[in-house]
Amino acid sequence: MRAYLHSVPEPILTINGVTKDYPAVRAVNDLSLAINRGEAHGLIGENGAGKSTLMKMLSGLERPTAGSITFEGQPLELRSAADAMKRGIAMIHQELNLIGELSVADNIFLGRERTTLGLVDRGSAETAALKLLNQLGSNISPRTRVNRLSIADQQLVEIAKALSCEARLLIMDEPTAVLSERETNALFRVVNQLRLHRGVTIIYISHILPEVRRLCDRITVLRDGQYVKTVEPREVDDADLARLMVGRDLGELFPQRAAHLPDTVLEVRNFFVDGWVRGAGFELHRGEILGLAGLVGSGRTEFAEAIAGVRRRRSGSVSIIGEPADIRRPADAIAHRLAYVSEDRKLRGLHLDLSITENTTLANLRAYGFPLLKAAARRASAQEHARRLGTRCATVQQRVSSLSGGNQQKVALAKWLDTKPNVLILDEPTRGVDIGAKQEIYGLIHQLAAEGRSIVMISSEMPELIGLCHRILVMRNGRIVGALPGERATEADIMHLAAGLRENRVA
Amino acid sequence: MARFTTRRLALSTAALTLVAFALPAWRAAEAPASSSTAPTSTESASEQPSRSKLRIGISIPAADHGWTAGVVWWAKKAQELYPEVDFTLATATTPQKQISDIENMMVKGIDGLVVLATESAPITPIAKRAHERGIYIVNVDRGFLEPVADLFLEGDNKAFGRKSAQYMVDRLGGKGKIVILEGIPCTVNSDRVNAAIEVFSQYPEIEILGQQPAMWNRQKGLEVMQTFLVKHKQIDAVWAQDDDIAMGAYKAIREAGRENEMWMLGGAGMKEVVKMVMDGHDMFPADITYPPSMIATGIHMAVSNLRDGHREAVSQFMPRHLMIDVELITPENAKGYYFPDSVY
Amino acid sequence: MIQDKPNTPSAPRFHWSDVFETWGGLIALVIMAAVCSLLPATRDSFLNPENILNIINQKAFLGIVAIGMTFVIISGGIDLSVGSMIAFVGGLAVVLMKKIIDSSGTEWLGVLAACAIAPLAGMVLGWITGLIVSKGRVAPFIATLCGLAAYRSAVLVLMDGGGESAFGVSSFEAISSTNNGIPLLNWTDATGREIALHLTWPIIVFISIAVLGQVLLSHTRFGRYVVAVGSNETAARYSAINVDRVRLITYTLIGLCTGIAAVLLASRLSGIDSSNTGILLELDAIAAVVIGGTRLSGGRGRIWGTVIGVLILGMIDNVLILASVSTHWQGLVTAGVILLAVLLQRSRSE
Repeated sequence: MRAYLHSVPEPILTINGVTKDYPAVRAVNDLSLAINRGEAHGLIGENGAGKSTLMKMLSGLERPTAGSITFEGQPLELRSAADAMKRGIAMIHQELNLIGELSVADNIFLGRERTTLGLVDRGSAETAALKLLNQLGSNISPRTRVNRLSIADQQLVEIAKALSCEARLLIMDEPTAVLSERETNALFRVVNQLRLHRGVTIIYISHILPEVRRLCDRITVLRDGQYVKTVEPREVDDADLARLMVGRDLGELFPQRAAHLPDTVLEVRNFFVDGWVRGAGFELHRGEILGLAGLVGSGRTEFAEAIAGVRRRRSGSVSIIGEPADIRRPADAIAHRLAYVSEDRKLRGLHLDLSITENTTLANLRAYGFPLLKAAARRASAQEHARRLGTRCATVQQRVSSLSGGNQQKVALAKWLDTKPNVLILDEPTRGVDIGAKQEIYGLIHQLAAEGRSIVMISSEMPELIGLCHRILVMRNGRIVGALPGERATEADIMHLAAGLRENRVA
Repeated sequence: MARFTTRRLALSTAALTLVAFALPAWRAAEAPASSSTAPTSTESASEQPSRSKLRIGISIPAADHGWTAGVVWWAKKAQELYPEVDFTLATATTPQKQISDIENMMVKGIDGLVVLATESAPITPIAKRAHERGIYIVNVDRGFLEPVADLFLEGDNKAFGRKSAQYMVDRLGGKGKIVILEGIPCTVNSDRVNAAIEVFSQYPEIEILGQQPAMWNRQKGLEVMQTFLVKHKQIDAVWAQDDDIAMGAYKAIREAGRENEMWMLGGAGMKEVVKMVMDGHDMFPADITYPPSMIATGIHMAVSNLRDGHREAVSQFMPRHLMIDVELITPENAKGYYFPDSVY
Repeated sequence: MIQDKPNTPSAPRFHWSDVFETWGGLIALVIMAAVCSLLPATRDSFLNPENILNIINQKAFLGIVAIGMTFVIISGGIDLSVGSMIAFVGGLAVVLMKKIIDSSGTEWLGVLAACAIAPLAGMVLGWITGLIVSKGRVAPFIATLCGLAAYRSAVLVLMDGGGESAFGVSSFEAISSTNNGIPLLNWTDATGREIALHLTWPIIVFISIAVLGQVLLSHTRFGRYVVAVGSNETAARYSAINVDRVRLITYTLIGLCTGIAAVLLASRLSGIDSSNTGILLELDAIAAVVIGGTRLSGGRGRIWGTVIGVLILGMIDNVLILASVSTHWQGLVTAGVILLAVLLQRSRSE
């Protein structure tokens, strides 16, 4: 087997002055870039920088307005995703394109079913799938239905699918956004193996800068549809990359930590949720930002949902400012001035096809008149929230689906701020949000705490917990297994607790 | 790419719809213009007597079974005889639609209206309104609840029941087991069935095994007959009162392999059945008429009574109620009732 | 806060498809009306007050049901049972009315009872459907398919397959009579006869319910919740909306609308026929809602659009008769119009 890493760099893909216009915007502007055979090439940039448009052109979903693309020495003119596959280009989308009701083998060979006498040959498909999966170091059975697999395993199935059609260029869009640390490591092993042993070229898109630096040979930064710079990971640090992406100095990512008041606002005791939470509890003080860390599946989200009354709990009690609060439905939480901003914006947080105004005031419509709602008051309130949170929109009557991820998150936040909560539980508030918007959200959280609200922040990104929180609780298997002071915690401390390598250090 | 296809699709559908909408209307508008040498319609719209073109509306039930299909066929056939008359024909599946149809015809301005009601009660008020407006009304087959028709034309359903039952009794020699298949519940059906039962009840040795509605359609006839065949070991004759029902029942009997045990009597004169009677079929020894062509009679009456402004004069001698007699079709006389090019 | 980002979005650009998405139904209606008033075959009779009132009056029953249907569809549901329900509750009302008149001898008492019974019975049946859908977690399609079968069967049993006539109960028949209502003007028809035109009770009730429905949908908490539930049920649940209750109310509402329409229809038809009253009403109602620009999968819709959809359906029947065109064309024209309206109103984002 050839070691591709050490061969002379030879471009497999050349992008030459490519421009893509949409009716309203120029998404990609005169972009040129060369990707070398066998390399892992990182592609970073804020939302709207043109990454996904570029990838859509490479995978046949869009065609360039101007410019040319050469792949393996031949001009690349794609009319469909199937064309791209025939040429050896496969894309793994952020939202996986698998059919949950079909088996792993069926998914891998979907559209290219192996047939004998016109009938699908399950056996040979399963054997072939098994071989592919083994090469990827996975022990998933090809007969498993895909919706029974974890997200990480589903991603492996996508990769196996790409390999099965002999992909020589694999484009991965935010593959780790939904993976735990351990799963991410496993994925990286697979990617490196593909690259070194099979000579597959990887284009890797991500918001998580340390990961990009770790995995990639070279990193290209895009901004506003234009090429900015290509760098090697060892030349730069995260701050440099962020600066290149945003185009100016971000300054400190995290605001200065401020002290919180000593009085207890929320006390959660002895929570049990079937299958998820086994006796968890905590205290939250006025103006405190409390981090909640843990691996995916540790029960963090379920715990938060149970506190907010979205999910049924078996037992457990909540008291707010010393008074017992019986929260069984989301409406009870609102009545007790407790708000839960859910993890999955698109599914649970927002009504994407409704306007900013509708979304902002939906959870608090009682405040806007009875029996008839006052439209002007709702609009004014939405405008006020948008102004305060710095939501970038043309009007508040705009549909939320037309906003970027960061601005959608601000609308989700506005919706719950409109219920005037004392306690805010934020579940992954910065997921899928670009670095500029992240910084703004950190500023907001800090500001809300400074106003005397208390905040529980759930996050998988340890640096932001460490940078922002007063205290960090770590959950594992439905229990709180440790508490760390924010300013002195390290990622290693959190990981150790989360993975169960060390038990409770601070009570 | 996708957007352009959609736009094109939308535009072509729009164009198609317009054509679909406008084409029949244009055609309808042009046809009378070419066939008449009369002055343009605008100036003749208001003066009633001098208006050259007679307008007649025909409102009948949609062809949901063979007999009504025959009605539609005969209505079209009658229209063709009078190219000088501006006809509007509408078929309705429900009374609701029929009321709307008649209202729309009234807006258009009709001089006469030929109605075969989907049901009596719902259509009576609208017929009354039309009558009050001075529209000449010919009511065919199913009567109104108030005497609002200028002319009522119906088949004699009681005679239908009586004659067919009597034929059945005679052929059975006054003794045997029979089943009765009914139509859609309405006066036509009850007149027939009651008259038939009155006859049967005079013969104590005629035993009625069962009596079920078969809605004047083949599928129902088949289903109901299948049930009867399973339930009753011996059936001598089937009084089906309608040829559609009879054809359905015939199929059930053949499938059960019991065609040698019994015979049947339908009704209304469907051409297939008349043919079988003519050919001396074992199971269809006779049929009884109830001609769907009575709609054509009604249309003819409306045209001739209104033509040339003779309405007043004609009303002095025209009876208000005409009963069409029903006749027994036997192999001897079947030839006279056989119309091979009719749909029924 | 950082405000100096270069890519602050400008106001959304103008798109023809946005105009069509909002106004497509109205545009289709205007085009059709224009065509009808220009065609030689229909220009004399189409644009005259009697005809316009006729169209609205004929479809008022459908319109009232379709407004209820709009709420159900926006909330992400569907109701296939309305056609059978209108026959059943209307039949129930007529049967009980005749019983009361026979036993008490006072006509107005029976008529009053009928006017109360049908809406009430409709609400109860709608409420039960709502319970089955929301608490019983049965798919709306299935639950209301059962209703479709059950109510039809119930009315067949009630009337033993026949009909119950209200013919001769003159104060009941007067409700939907075109000679009743608010007098509008005297009109000379095509044959030169003078007639008095009225804003009939079905029209008045239809317009009132449409106005109330539009206010309820756009300007009340319940209305916004209906949209939210249809747009994203999970997010609605997370927003402290009682999704089950919203569903329950939408089905009760369509039951009420169907009950009101049943009284008007029974009056117009002088009774109810167990086998054919209301057949396929549900499909007409759904068609009207969809032509009006309401998304069949829920989350977006409007009452005024449904009103336009109802008028479009009414115009199709009407114009074909005015033009002396065979009513057999009706299905083709209807199909074309539905497709046209839906394609025009497709959102850019879909």
